Amino acid sequence: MSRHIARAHALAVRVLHQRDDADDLVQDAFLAALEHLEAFDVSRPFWPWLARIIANRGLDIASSRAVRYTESLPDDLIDSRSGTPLDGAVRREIIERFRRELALLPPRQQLIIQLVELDGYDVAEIAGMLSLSPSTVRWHVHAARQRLRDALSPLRDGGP
Amino acid sequence: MTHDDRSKDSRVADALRQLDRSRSVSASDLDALTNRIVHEASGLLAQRRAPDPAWWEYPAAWARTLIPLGALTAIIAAAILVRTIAAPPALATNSERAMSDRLLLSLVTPVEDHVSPGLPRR
Repeated sequence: MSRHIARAHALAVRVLHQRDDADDLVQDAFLAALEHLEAFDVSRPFWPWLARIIANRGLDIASSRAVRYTESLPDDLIDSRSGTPLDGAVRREIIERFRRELALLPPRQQLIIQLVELDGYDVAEIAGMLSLSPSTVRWHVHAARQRLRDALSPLRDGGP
Repeated sequence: MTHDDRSKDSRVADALRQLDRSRSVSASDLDALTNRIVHEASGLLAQRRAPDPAWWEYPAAWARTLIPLGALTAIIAAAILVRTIAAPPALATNSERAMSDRLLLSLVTPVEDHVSPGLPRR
């Protein structure tokens, strides 16, 4: 279990965003895996099976929530490269816009783009985890990138 | 950019990473979570490790209920049987007696006697 706990927790945080919820989800997933151990094919690796349980249960919880997750940005978050207070404020505003746009993505799409961009999962792994076809996963990646890129457009268009 | 583009988008990735920075979990937090799961799972594991019960454990578990219930049923059945045997046969009423007489008469009377006198005999 200790081999998988860090990865399982990281995935649960990706889906639910909050530590306590992620803890509960990981515990729930491990117990569910233990309870349905007969369904596990021992010739296959354990992690994809566990990841599927975490992702599916987590997405069910995330989808059932009426209010999307939001979190105010910590003060030290913005990496100000140019240094002036105005640039910092503008950059902060853009990141805030990016965060809002990310929170507005459907939970599944939000999870997919984070798994690709931050955790380095490939399309086939995500497809197996979420029981989707690789082309559907690619479509989600494309759609999420498009929206998030638009949120960052002032930076790209010669902003601070 | 196309649908099939699998390359990472550095700006999007950077922005995501900035938002993600505060979410690192310490090893002690993970240990605590592991202990919590192990504690919760211990009951489940004990249940899995327990051997299957032998066939005689099922009737043994039910014996305290089934033996008194069986004895009670036998006593009730015996009481009903004794009452049925000991009771005198019920006397037949007049109409029942008349009906049984007619039935007996129809059985012992020859068939020819029932043929209508108006019909030709073969």
